[in-house]
Amino acid sequence: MEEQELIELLKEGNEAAFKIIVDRWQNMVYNTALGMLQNENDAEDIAQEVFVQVYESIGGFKSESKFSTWVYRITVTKSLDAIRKKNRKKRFGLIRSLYGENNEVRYEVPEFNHPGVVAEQKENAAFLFMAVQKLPENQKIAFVLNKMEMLSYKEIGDIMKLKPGAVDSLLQRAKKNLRVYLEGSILSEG
Amino acid sequence: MNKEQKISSILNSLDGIERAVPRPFFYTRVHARLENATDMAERLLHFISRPVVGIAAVLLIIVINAFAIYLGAPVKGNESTSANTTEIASVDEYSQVNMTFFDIEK
Repeated sequence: MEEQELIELLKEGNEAAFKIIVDRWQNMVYNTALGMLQNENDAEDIAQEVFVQVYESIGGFKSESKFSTWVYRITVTKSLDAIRKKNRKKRFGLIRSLYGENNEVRYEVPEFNHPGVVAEQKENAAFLFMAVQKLPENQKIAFVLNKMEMLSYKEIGDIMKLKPGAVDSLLQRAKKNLRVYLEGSILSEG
Repeated sequence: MNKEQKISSILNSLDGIERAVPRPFFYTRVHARLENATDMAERLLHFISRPVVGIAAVLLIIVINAFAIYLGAPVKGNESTSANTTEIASVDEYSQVNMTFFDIEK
């Protein structure tokens, strides 16, 4: 079934069309959320939320952009919201532990292993994902969409409402920051 | 492997990465969540549409308004003071407006 036809059916509340949409785009949404959040349970949770919003907001989709671009935007926005919420909790946890009984920082950054990374690169990729967590939001979005979803600068630009040149610049800065972080933080331990 | 090679190898470690996929029966979970969200919205709508809730909301608005009016009402003792102040201000303004050349020279 064609994309436009599915969208029209979903606008009419057709459940079968919704199932096809979920089946067709679930991997894209889940993989993007996983790249951003680096936690499988959180990514699953956000992916579910994304499709609930797709169902509820499809009436507002005007077909000015591609459907996938719209879905990517929802995924990225929801992932960023979840990261901010987590960071707020983390800060609160830190304050609590500073003034609590044990006086110790309870939160530890977990090592993330992406299931799609080739076996011999698992260790290196875990280092890279730790560094990606430190990137500013825009750089992180561009990096995840480019490296994990293999999107072109044009496609990333459509999602982020930027020109391809600006996406290129974001990715250059992301790579530079990752290199600095890897040099200064991770590899100095070894 | 030196440091520079190690960093390059880390930066290139996502080459050839495959898409992660959610656990099986993803749609079933999305559907359950959607129904739950719809249930919640319906329950909220049902709750709001109850007459008791409507009457309580109207009463609350009346109480808030009455309280605001009570707070905003002028205190009796201060009324004459404010009237005097206005009067004095008017006299000052009048004398400034009617200043003559000699007044300025002083």
